[in-house]
Amino acid sequence: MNSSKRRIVSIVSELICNSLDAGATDISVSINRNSEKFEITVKDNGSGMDEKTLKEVKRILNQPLKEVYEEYYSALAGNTYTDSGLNIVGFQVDKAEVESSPNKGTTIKVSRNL
Amino acid sequence: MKKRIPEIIVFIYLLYLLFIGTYLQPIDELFQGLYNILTSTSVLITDYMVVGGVGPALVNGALVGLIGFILIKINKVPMTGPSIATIFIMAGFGLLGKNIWSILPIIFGVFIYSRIRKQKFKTFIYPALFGTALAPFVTNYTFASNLGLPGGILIGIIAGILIPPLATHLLKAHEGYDLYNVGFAVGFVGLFLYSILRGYNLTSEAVSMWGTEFDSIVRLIIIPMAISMIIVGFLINDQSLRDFKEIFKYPGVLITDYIPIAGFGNTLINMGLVGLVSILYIELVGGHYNGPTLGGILTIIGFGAFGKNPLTIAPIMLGVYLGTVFSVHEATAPGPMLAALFSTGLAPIAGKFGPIVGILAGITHLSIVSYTGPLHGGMNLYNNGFAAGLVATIFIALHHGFKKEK
Repeated sequence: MNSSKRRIVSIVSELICNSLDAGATDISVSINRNSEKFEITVKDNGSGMDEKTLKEVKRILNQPLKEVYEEYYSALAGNTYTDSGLNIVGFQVDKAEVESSPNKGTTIKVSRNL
Repeated sequence: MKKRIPEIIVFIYLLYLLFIGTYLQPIDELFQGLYNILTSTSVLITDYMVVGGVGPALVNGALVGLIGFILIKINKVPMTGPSIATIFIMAGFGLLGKNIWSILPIIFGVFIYSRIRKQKFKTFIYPALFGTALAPFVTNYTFASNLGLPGGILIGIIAGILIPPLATHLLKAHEGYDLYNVGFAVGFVGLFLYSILRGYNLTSEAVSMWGTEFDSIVRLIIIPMAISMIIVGFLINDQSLRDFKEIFKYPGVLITDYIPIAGFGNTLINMGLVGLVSILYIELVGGHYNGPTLGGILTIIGFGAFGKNPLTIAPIMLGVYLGTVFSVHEATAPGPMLAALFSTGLAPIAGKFGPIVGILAGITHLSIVSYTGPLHGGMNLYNNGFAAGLVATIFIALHHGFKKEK
């Protein structure tokens, strides 16, 4: 995808969906972008994740970049089952940090060098 | 070395098909059979085993699969679940409509699209390879119209250019519940192109070539292949089934790559198992093994790495069978046989919503696929993928329309 705008929309859409699925009533989104990179942070007060889920989510979000997927499959962002959706975020970002604990919400920060 | 195991195994299975194909017939019959295949119009349903013989059909299938393999390697695309699915579906449809030259204009068309978008070809490699489903546009207009080879190639290139944007856009319609998304997209490309060409009297003739004399030989080829995948997968997985159950935790919605989820060994076991389920279906209904059904089995096997498992394909196939019981359709007729095998693209519906909904999806699929062929003149080989996309879109829309908001 040569448009970082579409990539950002796809990622934000999917992360917000996940927050809503976790029952969040308060979600904040922060996007920082310039010509060299973008950074997205989504913080929510949803149900949070247990240790096992957190480990799996970190694995999915920190998978290697997959150019071969992002142009074609990123259209699925925001519509899918949680794990497939985070896959779509994972293959579009260089780095992901996740903080979460049960009933204490989740903060996901992802970034990508352009 | 461990990272290369998937590509080595896939390569070996392609060589297996190639070796058996060259072994089965004398060399002069092999070349004559290949010539027949390469010069056939190849519209649905063209059984290449009938056109050229079992050996030439397998050689063509293996070579088509190898072309996909080489393109994936050249473009440095990892041998993931979707890559494996792509290669196996190419090899499978190399038995019923794709051949080693007719796929090239389609791929070139996608390449041109990537140049227009100023992006690397690899970002469109899956639409390019899956999109070779429109290969009959090349062969039909080359051999059955006054456009000849230049016209056939040009139409193929135009088809290729149209595939990527439609494939991306149409994912949203079914939300990943049709694993054969490109089949859905090329159905629309086929509909679009055929409608225009038909207006200028450039049509296609309906074909129904369906082999009935190849059961014994094809059984001997495919059953050991599926069983060997289970054995090899078990060995790769340190002779255990550790983590195999991870595969069943996912409904299989795009994009579910089983290799990072459960490991390649377990993925290979799953590929063998779904292959055996499809073989069991053919045996139970008394169907024939031929180019199209072997193509179906190979496609199911490939998608055993990318979204299908035995528990999700069985309800869909059962649904198709039940759809034949009280209807005008016969379970062993060509259309319903292919519907049963290729309806498994709807496996994620069973995976997500349960076996009863899966059965309903299978029944619906049989009804819809019976009428979609003429829309594209039989030139979209993934006619079932097109129908599956329509079914998935309808089911997902109904689900969204009737579910309660949280």
